[in-house]
Amino acid sequence: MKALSLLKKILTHRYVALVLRLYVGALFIYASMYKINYTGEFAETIASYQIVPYWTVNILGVVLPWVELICGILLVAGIRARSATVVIGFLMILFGLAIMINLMKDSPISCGCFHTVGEKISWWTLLRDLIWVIMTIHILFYDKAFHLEKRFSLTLKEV
Amino acid sequence: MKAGNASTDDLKQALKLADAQRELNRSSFYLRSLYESARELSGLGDVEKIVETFLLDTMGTLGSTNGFVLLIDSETQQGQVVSRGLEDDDIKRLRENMPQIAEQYFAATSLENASPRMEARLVAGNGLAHDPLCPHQTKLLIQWTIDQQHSGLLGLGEKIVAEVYADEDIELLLGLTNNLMAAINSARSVDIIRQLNTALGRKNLELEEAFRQAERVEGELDRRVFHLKALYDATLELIGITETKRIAEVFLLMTLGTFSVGQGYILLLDREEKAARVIFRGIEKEKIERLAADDLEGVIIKFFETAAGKNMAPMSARQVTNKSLLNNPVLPMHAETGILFFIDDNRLGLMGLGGKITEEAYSEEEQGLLLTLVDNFMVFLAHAGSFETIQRLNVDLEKRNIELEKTIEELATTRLKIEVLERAKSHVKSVIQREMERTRRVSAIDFILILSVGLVLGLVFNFSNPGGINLIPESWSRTSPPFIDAHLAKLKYDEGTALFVDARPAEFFKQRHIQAAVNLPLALFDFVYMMKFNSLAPEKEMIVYGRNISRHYDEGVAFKLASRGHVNVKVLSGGMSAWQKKGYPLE
Repeated sequence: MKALSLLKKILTHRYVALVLRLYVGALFIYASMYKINYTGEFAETIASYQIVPYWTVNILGVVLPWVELICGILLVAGIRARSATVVIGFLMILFGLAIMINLMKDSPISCGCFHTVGEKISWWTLLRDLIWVIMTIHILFYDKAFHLEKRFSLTLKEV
Repeated sequence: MKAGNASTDDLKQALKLADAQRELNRSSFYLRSLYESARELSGLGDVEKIVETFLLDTMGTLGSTNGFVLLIDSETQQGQVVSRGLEDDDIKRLRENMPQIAEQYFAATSLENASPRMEARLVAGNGLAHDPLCPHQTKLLIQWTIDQQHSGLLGLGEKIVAEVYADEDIELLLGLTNNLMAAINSARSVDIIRQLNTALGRKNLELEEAFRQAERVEGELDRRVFHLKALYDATLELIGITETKRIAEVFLLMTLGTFSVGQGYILLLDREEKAARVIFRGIEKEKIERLAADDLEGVIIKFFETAAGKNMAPMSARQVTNKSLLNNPVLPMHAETGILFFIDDNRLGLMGLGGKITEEAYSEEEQGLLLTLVDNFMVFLAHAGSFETIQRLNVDLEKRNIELEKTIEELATTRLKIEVLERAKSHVKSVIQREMERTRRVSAIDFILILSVGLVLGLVFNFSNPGGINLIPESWSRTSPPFIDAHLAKLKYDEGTALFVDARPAEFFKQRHIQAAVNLPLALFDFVYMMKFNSLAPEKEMIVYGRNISRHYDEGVAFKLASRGHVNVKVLSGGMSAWQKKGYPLE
């Protein structure tokens, strides 16, 4: 029992959440970098998933990496972290769903998570995505430490 | 004979003459005795003296060996014994027998014994029974009565020369006794007159005394009236004055007037304010100005430390008895009289008055009046003090009121400020709170913001990036290629006239495609075209397929082929799924 509660305590510790937050944030920043540089390829990747209508693909290809970048930065910096986490979580779920649909359709597409070419989507990809979703949920609930925004608010409150 | 007869007659005549002569002599002797007795007695005023003289004269005249006179008061039955030639025992007995004698001869009730007034009578004598109450030698007893208080008995002893008293002797004796009575009466009258005179004199003295008393009372009354008038005037003058200095001035002026004094001063010490005030009249101003307030304070306190000023009750005044104190050089002048007054612990003072103009000393009454006046003065001073205190308090109160109003104003301003600050604080607090909550909250605005910023940045970057992509589908801006349905396409397929082009990416192509179709991915169009289609005749019919919800690869490839000069390019309507549905061959 004690070990369980200790485990829970450790697992739900805010520093754990901080680490996850930094990890996920950095992950998104990293992921967005390539996509931003190779917009066309990313648009193709989106298209390869065959989920969004053709006229939205390019827009998504342009905007989505930037959203990822912004969310990543916000998450790392701890500014509007929860909103960013939610957005990231939402994207993760979308990506997960897309992967799952394509897995079920047995589409021969690559994940496009970080690079356009490379790994094909697999159940492992989905699992990884799910893990990231869980991380996001963890961040959403337990993230409290080192928020730039909070620092700013606290300073204001002290004033 | 004849001669003899004649001689006898002559003898007889001579005898007669001799008798007559003798008679005459006797009468003359009697008369002379009576006269002398009367003359002698009339000159005396004292009854005892009269009686003594009378007894002596009578005994001398009648030639008695002894005699006594009892002076008896028949009412008290007391009396006095005057005697000559009696033994002491006899005198003693007479004194002892006095009441009985009085009873016997002078009882008022015994009428027969009562002798007529102013008349002497013989009660014992020759042939009369001897009275045992009297000394045994007594031969004659004459009773006389002037009035009830004054009566008496005269007793005479034997004569020197004869055995008995002759009638003439008795007659003479009665006459003498009458003389005695007359003398006593006269003496008594004189005595009464003297007594009356004395009484009158006394009355006169009393009257004079009463007169003097009346004069004194009148003087006292005058003084009282004067005092009361002075007091009344002082009260009248002081009434309505509320200022201590003015009261002291008016009082000093009035007191100087009342006592006709030219100089005077009043020192007032207020210990609370530590101020000594000098009010003066008839003293040079320069002299007063030279006085140091501290010295004056010290002097007054010194006065109150002396016996005169010690243990004084509040609102009491005392005269300064020690004149040397009044001559202190610190004081404005040498005062003749001084009054210390003690209003309360804080206010006390000294009043000094100079000599009177008349150069008289102050009488006790004047001192008393002065004290009374000072008492009155103190009442006014006390009132003035209270009034001044009230005024001071009022001024203080007013000041405080102003301060209070200021404070209230300041408070109101401060309150306003505080309210503003409070509002600001609560506003800031709520803002902070909101901000803090917002950091905790997942807000739609954040999403919109993130998406907006992402959109803007994406668009800006895409436009500015040479490798940017077209956001509007190209198919919208160009005419759509001709379509061919699956059935017709199958015919063409069967005929082998048409080349089936798979526009999808190679992975999809690899997965499944229409049998004999050639893969020409849109993304690799140029490269693959060069490799596989370059040599193809432009007229060659091409049926392009491969589209999904996200991409119209077929249209893109058809457009590109057409732009390369291929004129017979068609797009398979419904794509591979329509083909597949009809069961046409796939691989």
